[in-house]
Amino acid sequence: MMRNLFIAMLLLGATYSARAQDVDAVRLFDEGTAALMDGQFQDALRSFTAAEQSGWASGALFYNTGLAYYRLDELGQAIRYLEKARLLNPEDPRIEHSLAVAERRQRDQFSVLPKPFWKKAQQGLVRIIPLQWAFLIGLMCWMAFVAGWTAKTVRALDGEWYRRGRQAALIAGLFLISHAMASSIVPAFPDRSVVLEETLVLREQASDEATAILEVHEGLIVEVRAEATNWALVKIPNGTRGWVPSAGLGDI
Amino acid sequence: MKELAGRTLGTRSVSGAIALLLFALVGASSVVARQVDVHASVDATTIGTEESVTLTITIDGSDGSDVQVPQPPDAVGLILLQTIPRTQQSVSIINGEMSRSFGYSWAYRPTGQGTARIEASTVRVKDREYHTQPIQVQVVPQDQRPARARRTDPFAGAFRSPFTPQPTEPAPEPDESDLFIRAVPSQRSAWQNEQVVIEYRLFFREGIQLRQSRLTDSWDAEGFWREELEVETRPVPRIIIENGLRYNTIVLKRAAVFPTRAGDLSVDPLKIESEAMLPFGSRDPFRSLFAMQTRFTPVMLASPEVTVASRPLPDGAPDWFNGAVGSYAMTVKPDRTSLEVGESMQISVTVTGRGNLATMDAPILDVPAAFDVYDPDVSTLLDRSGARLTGSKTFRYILIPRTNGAFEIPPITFSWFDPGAGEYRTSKSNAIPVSVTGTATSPLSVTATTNGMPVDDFAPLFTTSENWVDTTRAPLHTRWWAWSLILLPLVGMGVVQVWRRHQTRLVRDPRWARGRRAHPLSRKHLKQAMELLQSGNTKGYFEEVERAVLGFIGNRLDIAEKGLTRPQLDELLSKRGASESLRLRLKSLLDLCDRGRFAPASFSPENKESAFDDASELIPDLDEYLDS
Repeated sequence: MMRNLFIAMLLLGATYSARAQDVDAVRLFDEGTAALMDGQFQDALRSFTAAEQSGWASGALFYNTGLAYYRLDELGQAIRYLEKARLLNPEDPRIEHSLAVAERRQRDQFSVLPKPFWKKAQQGLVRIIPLQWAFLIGLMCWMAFVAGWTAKTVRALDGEWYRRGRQAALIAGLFLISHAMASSIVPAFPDRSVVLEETLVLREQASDEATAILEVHEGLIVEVRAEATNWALVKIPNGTRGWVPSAGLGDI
Repeated sequence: MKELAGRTLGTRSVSGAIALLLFALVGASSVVARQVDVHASVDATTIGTEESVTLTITIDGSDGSDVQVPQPPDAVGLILLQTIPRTQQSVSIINGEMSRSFGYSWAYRPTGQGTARIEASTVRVKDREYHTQPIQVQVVPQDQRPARARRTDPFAGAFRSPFTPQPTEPAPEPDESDLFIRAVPSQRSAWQNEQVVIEYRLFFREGIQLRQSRLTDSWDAEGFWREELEVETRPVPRIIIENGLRYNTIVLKRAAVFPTRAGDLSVDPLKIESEAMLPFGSRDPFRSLFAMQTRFTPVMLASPEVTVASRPLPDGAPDWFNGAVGSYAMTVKPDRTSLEVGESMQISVTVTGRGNLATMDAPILDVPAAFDVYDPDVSTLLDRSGARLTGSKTFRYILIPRTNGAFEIPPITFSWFDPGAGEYRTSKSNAIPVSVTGTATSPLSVTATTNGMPVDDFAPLFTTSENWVDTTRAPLHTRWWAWSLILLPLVGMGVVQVWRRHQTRLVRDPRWARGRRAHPLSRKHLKQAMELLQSGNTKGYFEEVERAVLGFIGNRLDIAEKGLTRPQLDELLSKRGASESLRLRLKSLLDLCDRGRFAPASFSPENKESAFDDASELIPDLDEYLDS
C-alpha cells in the first residue's frame, strides 16, 4: 500500500510539473529574439506579444520583451515586463541588473514604506519555493503523513521513527499547503501596475475634476488597491493613495 | 565737493564712457541740426525779482533766411523789455557735416513774486508753422534766489564787443538742474527673469565742460542677472528741452537686467566724480584761457536708484518649462539621419530670440536607450547693439547608437514664458527618424560591471527560453482539484477510521457482530433454498427456509436456536414483545417446513413457493420487532 501511494504521488508531481512547451510560443519567441538581435524592435515586439497571447510565458520571453521596449524608449513597458520576468525568474542576475538600469531612469524616487515582517517572510518564501512547488511538496508530505497514519491504523506499523516521520510530514505538509493557498488568495506580490503614461496625476477621487494630489511619472510601480470604471485607486511606494485613469497603467 | 541730488549713470566700462563723454563735451555749445527744429528755452527757470529772464527761440537747420520773424510770446507775470528780438546765428561742422541754427531772443522782467509763464509761440519757416511749448518761471525774492551761475545767452558773446569790460564774479557752481544723470528703466514692473533695460543718460546745459571724470563706486544690481548693452563710442549730444531749459544729453550706459527672484529689487545708483566748468559770461578766449584753472568745480554725479517690482511667474507652466522668459523661436537640425553603429550624429537645437539667453538651460533631449548621449556643446551669440538684448543659443548634442535598427528621436520641446502676452508658449520640433545599420557593438567590450553586466545598459538578451508556464492557469485556490487533493486523504482517513472501529467491534462485541450478521445470513439461506427448490430438492428447500428463519432469530437474540423447542421459542419471542399474530405466523411457517421435510410430495409448486414468500416477509417483521 505504501508503495502504491508513493507511485501515485510521483505521478501527481510529474503531471503538475509537466509544462508542455507550446510549439507556437517557442517558435514566436525565437522569431522575436532574432528580430531583436537585428534591431527590428517593433517586429520583435509583435512576435513576443503573439507568444504571450498564446497562453504561454517564460522569464526569457518577458525579459526580451522588456528589452525591446527599452530600446524603443518606452520605459514604463520595459519596467513592467522586467518585473514580470523577475516574478518567473526571481534570482536571474540579468533581470536584476537590467531592472536596476531601467529604474535609474525613472523620475520618481519616492521613499519606500517598510513592509510588515510577515510580508517579507512571505515574499522570501515565495522566492525560495515558488507557489506551485510549495503546493506540490506540501501535498506529498501530507499524503505521506496519511499513508503513515493508515499503515499505523491498519497494519499497526508503528515505532519511534515512524512516529517522528509522521509528525514531520504532517507539519511540513500543512505549512507548505497553507503557504501555497494563502499566497494564492493573498499574493506575496500584490496587484501591482506600472505607470505607462509620461505623467499621471493622482487625484483624491475618481474624477478629472477632483483635487490633484501629486504627479507620478512613467515607470513608477504602484499597488492597485481598488478599481472603478476607468479609474484605479493606487498606492505609491511612500504610502500616498490616489485615483488615476486605468488606461495609464499596465499590470504586472 | 558738491554732490548733486537728482542723478543717474553707469556700467561695465564706465570710465570708458566717461572718456567719451569728455571728448563729446569739448565744444559742446554747438549742436548738429540736420532738419528744421524749433524750440524755446530760457536762461533760468528761477530768478530773483530784480533779475531778468531771456527767452530764446532757436530754429535748428536754418540760417534765418527762410524764417518769418516771430512775435514775442505773451507772458503772465513778466513784462517784455523789448519787442525787437536779438538775433543770433551759428554754424558748426561735426564729422564733416555742417549744421546751422538761428535764434531770436527777448528779455522779460518779473512783475512780482510767484509763478510766471511765457506762453507758446508760433514760428513760420518756409510756409510751415512750428509751435513752441509754454515755459514757467519761478520768481523769488532777490535775496532768496538760488546760488547759480548767471545764465547768459549762449549767443550773446557773438554780439558783444570783446572790449566790453566783464564784471568780476565768483566761479559759478553747477546745480542739479545744470548737470545730472537720469536712469530710465524700460519698465518698473516685470516678471521674474524678464528683461528690463536701464539706460543712463547724462544731461548737461550747453557750455558746461567736464574733465577728470571717473567712476567712484562699482555699479551693482543685486537680485538681477546683468548684461551690458552697447552705447555709441562717439556719441553726438542730442538737444532736449526740459522745463524750458535746453540740455544736451548723451547715453552713458545701457544695461539689460533680469530679476532672478520675485519682490522689489533695487539697482544701485551710477556714480561718477568729475570737475565741471560752467560757461563764462562771454566767449572771450583769452579770459577763458586764464581763468580755466579756477573755474572748474569738483562735482559728484549720481543717478537715482532704480527699483523694479518683480512678479513671480504664473502657475500652469508646461512640463518642459525650464525658466526661460522672453520671446523665442526654436529650430532643430540633425546633421544626419542614417549612420552606422558606433558613428556619431549631431543634433543642433538653436533657440533664438530676446531674453536671458546666458542662463537658459538646455532643452531635454529624450532619445532612445540605444543611443549614448553626451552633454551638449553650448554656444551663445548675443547681440548687444540693439535697444534690447537679443541673440541665439545653440545646443549641440552628440548621439552614438549602440545597436542597429530604425529609431525615432522624439520631438524636442522648448517652453518659455512670454511676458508680453502673459502666458506660456511652447515650441515643438518634429520627430527625427534615424536609421542605424551595421553590427551592434558589444557593450561588454567597452565597460562592464564586476559581474560582467554592461554599465548603464541592459544585460544581453535571452537566446533560449525554458520553463514555460501556462499563463491561462487560474489561481491555485480557485482550482477544485487542489482542494480535492488536500481533502481526499482526510476522507480516506475517516473511512479507515470507521472501518477500523467496525472491525474492532466485530471482534470485541460478538452479540453485536451476530446481529450485524443476522440479516445477511438469512438472505444467504433463502438464496440457497431457492436454488434447492429449482433443483427439485424439496426437503433441502424446506430445511434451508427453516434455517434462515431460526438462524435469524438466534443471531438477533444472541441465543443458540438449535436447542430451543417450539414452546420455548414462542415464550422467548413473547418476552421480547413479539405479537401474537407474529408468533402464529412463525409457528405456521415452521410447521409448514416440518411437513415439507417429511412429506414433500404433498406440496404443489405454488405451496412450496409460498413458504419462501412467508419467510421473506416474516424475517423483516421479526427484525422490526426485535429492534424495537
